[in-house]
Amino acid sequence: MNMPEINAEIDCNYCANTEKFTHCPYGYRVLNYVTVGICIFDKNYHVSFWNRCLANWSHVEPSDIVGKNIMEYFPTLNSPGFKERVDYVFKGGPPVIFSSQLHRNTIPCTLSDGSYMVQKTVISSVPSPETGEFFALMAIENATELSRKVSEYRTLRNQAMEEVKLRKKVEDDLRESNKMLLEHQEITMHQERIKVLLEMAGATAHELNQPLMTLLGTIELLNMTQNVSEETVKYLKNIEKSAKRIADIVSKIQQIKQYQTKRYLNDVSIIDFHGSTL
Amino acid sequence: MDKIDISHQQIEAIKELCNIGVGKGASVLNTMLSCHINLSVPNVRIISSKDFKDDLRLFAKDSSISSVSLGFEGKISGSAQLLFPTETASSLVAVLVDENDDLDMDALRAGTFCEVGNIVLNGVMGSISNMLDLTFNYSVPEYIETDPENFINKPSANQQDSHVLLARTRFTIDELDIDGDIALFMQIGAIHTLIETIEKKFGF
Repeated sequence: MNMPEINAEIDCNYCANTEKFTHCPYGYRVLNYVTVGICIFDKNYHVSFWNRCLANWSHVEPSDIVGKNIMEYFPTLNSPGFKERVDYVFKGGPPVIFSSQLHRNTIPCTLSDGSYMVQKTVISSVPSPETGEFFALMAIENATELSRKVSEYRTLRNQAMEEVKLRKKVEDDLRESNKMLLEHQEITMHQERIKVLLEMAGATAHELNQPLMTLLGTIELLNMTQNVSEETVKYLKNIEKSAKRIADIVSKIQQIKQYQTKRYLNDVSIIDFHGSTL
Repeated sequence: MDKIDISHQQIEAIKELCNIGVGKGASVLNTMLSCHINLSVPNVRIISSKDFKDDLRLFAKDSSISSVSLGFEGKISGSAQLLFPTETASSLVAVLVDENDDLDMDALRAGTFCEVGNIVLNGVMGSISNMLDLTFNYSVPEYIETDPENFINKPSANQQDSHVLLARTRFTIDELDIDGDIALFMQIGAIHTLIETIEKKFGF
């Protein structure tokens, strides 16, 4: 594959090395062609390279910052959490990650809408081929869009979760209301049954009592009558016995307090007079 | 497969190296975060990749595995990984950034977990490197989320003679008390070199 030719006659303004690109010992200049913010600094935190992308994002020109201490230029970097971790990079330690959620940004860069760019930064150690010392290569990714998308996703997800929670609560409430309604309906029906039963029982007892009194009185009179055959006396006793039984039933009807039924023929239920008077 | 012959003292030395490393990691995390985090390594084992497979299945329960992987090359080569069941990793991040615990392990949380893993693993590798005078070339740490079976079948975890130095690490943050694994995947030769280096350095 043929590599694109780079104009070797153009001065490299992006690093401390004033030689032409072809003489740049680290080949840093190729990093001007990447869409990631790149800064290289030494163990004294002096910037030796500041790429084009980072210059565009931060509005800080390489000529302003190269050779200067990055912490003096960006004082927010001068924190124990940053320096303690990055110092080890100059001893050849592992790369250091600064996530967008914990740090928001490493180099403050203002976007066109006035907000700050959200960044993910990785600082790796780069050995110098000449001295064997280690430089820190800071690679900054623009994570603003990713952060925005995730925030949108979280908002939508939370809304959906809230809706599911609300729907579940409404369903629970509805179920509870329905249960209460059924219970209330059952109580009302029961009360209505008792009311009808008591009215019916009162009317029945009242209407039966009149002819029953007449019947019992007549039996009493017949019992006092002389010259009645033994067979007739026997019939009279049976009539009297049945009449008293009717009187007993009427008395029970008058004492009905609750609605209680018992099984009758062909799955039909009838009012249990005895149970209903307890 | 060669057998690893390691003494109790050597295991204790490795445990101490890990404890120093996670201690450094905890110190860095405490300067960065508002909550107080305490890290300790209660036990260290060297196991074969086959035993690790069984161990990981149990450790993950029914969850996927979230890991931060840091490759290293030098006199000893391999890959250092911080492993958590994904749900636990997500809960850990939630506590660290004071967020609602209901959220998934999305890209932001994965990035944060990657940084936490980076801090812990840098502490451990730094401790091994400094105490044993070893130098390494490192790769950039990466976040991996997969189910235990796929994780085990990765080449770094599944080479025939690869062994795992497994350091169970306890994260105590406020009221949260969770366990993660720091696993150093190495070829058996690298494990032997590590043990030899410990022998030379500490005299046992």
